[in-house]
Amino acid sequence: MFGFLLGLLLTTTAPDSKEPSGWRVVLSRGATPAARFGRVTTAPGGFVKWLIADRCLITLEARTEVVFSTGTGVCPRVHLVEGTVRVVAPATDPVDLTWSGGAHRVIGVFTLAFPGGRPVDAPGEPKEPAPDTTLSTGASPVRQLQTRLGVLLRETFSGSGDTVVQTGAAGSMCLDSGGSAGDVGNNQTGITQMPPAARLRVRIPYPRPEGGR
Amino acid sequence: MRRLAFALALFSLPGCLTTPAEDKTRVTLVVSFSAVPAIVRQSPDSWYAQVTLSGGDLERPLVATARGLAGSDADLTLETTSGGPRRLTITWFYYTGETVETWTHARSDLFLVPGDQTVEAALVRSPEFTLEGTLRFPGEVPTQVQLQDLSTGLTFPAVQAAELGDSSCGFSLHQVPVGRFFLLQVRDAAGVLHSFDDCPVFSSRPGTRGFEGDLADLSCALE
Repeated sequence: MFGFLLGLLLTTTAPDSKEPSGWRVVLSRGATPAARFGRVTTAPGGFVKWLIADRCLITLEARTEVVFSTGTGVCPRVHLVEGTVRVVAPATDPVDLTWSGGAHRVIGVFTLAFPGGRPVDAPGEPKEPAPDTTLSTGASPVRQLQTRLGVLLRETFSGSGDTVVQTGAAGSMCLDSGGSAGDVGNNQTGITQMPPAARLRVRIPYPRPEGGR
Repeated sequence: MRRLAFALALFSLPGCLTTPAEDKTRVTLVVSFSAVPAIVRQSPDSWYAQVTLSGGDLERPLVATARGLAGSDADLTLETTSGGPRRLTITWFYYTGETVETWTHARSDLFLVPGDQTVEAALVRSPEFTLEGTLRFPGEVPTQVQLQDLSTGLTFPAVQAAELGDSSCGFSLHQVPVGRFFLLQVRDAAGVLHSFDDCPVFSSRPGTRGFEGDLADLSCALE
């Protein structure tokens, strides 16, 4: 299903792409975004991360609408209509990111949030204090790039061994005061309570590396 | 430069160096660190494990790390809110003294129940690729080339660069795990470490990838 949608996306927006099969979903949640004339919209509570030709990573967060079109290289051009998009792109394959009233050629890691018609992380704009709107460009110091990449990629790639994962649609769960399960935002009082704490113990047996050590 | 920085750091940390007047043969060095120093290199025959737990209902991924010697099991504990689904990833680096073996485990279907819960993760060896590159340099030939794993900050063993003539040199880095992002770092003849920030090294499949870089302006390309 998703392959069909990606095929539709690429057929519609990047007919000259040499590597249409290079689009891979590395992580997603919620309903699969539908593509119409290159326009993709993620559902509330959903997100999708694409790795394109092993070169660039494009993440659409919840309630995000973008328009893809053919880029200069293997990575597409992205126009952000609304929501939050994250792009990781090397210098050899920069991603042209545009929005209403602005544009930026992404090299390195870049996050752009555009809620309510005003970008909060556009280059040259005053940046609002928020934990997830750190701006970094190719000219940024190493530590900033590493930190940003680390946060972004830790979630996606750490230990995955390149496992392609598509999680199903699911809302987060919490318990009400009576101890029964319910969906966040769906309770009668309208008060969302913190779920009880959980302690996860992870045991990793020594895997006996090659050589019999 | 690094030694000088370390020496300065020692003196700036809370601690003391005392020589009891009544015993001139004993010197006691007491140093306390305000933060746990980051582990950037491993000892031979040791492992380093990183566990991450993430999910759409968590504000940010949780990370726990541990290290140990060959033959020992790892045991880590993460505390967070119950719920799910959560994505659990485990990266386990084993340094043989010559190369780093990368073992991984990942699952995305983890629901955390309130209270205690234990999972046992079986690791599998990560596929690997080879990075072959050429570097242009001003002045003398660089001495070392290495990769730094972006997620953990661990540096993989350095290799020597081989001079090719015409102010360029070549290198080969083997057993680089797929599916991870690395920074390529080059130590020049003066001992200064340069980092090619604009070209994160990544491959999703085994084989060989090429890297070209210029130490003069740190321009680069990954092929």
